Amino acid sequence: MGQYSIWVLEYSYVTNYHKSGVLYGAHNQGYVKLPYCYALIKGNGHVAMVDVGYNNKDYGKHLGDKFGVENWHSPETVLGEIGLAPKDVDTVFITHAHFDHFGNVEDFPKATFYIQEKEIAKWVWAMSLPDRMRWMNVAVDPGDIVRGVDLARQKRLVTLDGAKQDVLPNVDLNPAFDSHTYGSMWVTVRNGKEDTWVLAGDLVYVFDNIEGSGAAVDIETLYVPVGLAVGSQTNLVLATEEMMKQVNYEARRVIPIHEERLKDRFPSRITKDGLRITEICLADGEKSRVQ
Amino acid sequence: MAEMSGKLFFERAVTVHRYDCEVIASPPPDVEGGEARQAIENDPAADEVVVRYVVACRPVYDGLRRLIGQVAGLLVLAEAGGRRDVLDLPDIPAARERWAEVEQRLRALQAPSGLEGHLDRLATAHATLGEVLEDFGLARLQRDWQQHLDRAGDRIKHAYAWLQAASEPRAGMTPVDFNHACCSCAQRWRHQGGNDGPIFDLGA
Repeated sequence: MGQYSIWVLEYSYVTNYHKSGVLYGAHNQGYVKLPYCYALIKGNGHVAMVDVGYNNKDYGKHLGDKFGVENWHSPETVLGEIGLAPKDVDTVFITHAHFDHFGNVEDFPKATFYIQEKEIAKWVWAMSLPDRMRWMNVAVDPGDIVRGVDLARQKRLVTLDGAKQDVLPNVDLNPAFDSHTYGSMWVTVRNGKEDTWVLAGDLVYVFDNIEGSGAAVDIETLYVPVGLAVGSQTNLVLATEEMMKQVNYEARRVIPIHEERLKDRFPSRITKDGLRITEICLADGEKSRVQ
Repeated sequence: MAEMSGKLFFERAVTVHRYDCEVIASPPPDVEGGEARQAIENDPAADEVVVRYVVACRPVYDGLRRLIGQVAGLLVLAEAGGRRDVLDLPDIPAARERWAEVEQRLRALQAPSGLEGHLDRLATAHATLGEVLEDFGLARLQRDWQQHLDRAGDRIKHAYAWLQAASEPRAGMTPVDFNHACCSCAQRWRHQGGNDGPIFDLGA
């Protein structure tokens, strides 16, 4: 038991996602279900989110038709399942600026958003490069950056230069520069002695990124980076090591939000809309939302 | 609906509004319509002329898309950090140069009959973005820099709204490049023989 409750809330999913996208080098190994989720942290008088998903009005039809993204539901509906509303959210940590993490800021009218300054600055640079280098600005919606301008003018967007401890009491933000994206970060919740949780954003997609098979090199497990990085796989592995160090190498405490098998490690339930709620931990006195 | 030409569909898919109208941020209703999609795919009139236009205007669309993202990012850095030094970055004159390059491409575009409205929307996005860049210039030179950046913040929204209004996913003109994105199942989709129909499947 501790100060914060954490839930991982599914808001959409892709049924057949190519495995090489989540696991570096896993070519021709078929498909996995890829849930789209955000995390909610509640405690110490705060309701905080890790990422906000995307706006179905802008992308839903296209994503559905072309990429097989299914069953999107709004934050109003998704948060409603645990008895909260988007207006209750006071803080949002944006792990990176991809549209499926940063694409729905308008639904959280009272929140202050945190993002790494380098995430914005290097996207600006990437967008200035010639067409032949446009791979480097994949998956970023200029519209999200435009909406970021509004947040900044309202003093609701805080750009960070590196790590920040106690952004909320016992909640820390940690950068992983030039990894999945230019200024990705993860969130560490220090709930109590030996009760630390890491919310990894897209630095870790699935359990195998932390506990990949090491059979080929005669060890039990090794870190295998995610399939997509505009930075380097080396930086992803180094970030994974930092995350693991923070949780005393207890792999279950690093939470990958695109992992369908979270349900095998934590209590969960499926909502009436067919989306999963996974309960990572409960604060003292907090009721379960999955039982 | 059956007699609607590809050109008309394309035109209606980016309906005309004032540049500051909220409605243009919403997807035009015809884009959703299965009947309309069927019509454009079956219509022999939506021919090479349209394809040539689409091929020529995609670099313009993409140039505007990236310029808007770039300039909006600079605005975020200036506004969120209260940093006036952003105005002195070489990125701003570089953005002006790219804006001028896009203008040249834009001038060379010739919209087929029925697609003039689409070209107008691209031109308006471009012109509005030019006003944003002017605001940057004024902010750099004058004391009331914050006021100019505020105006730039308003105008960049309009520029993006015009870009959205000129979007056509089947022509490869979308605000987000989804290929290789976290969500992207493009390879699976292509392996399964998916495409956007004969007219606008340009390998986007």
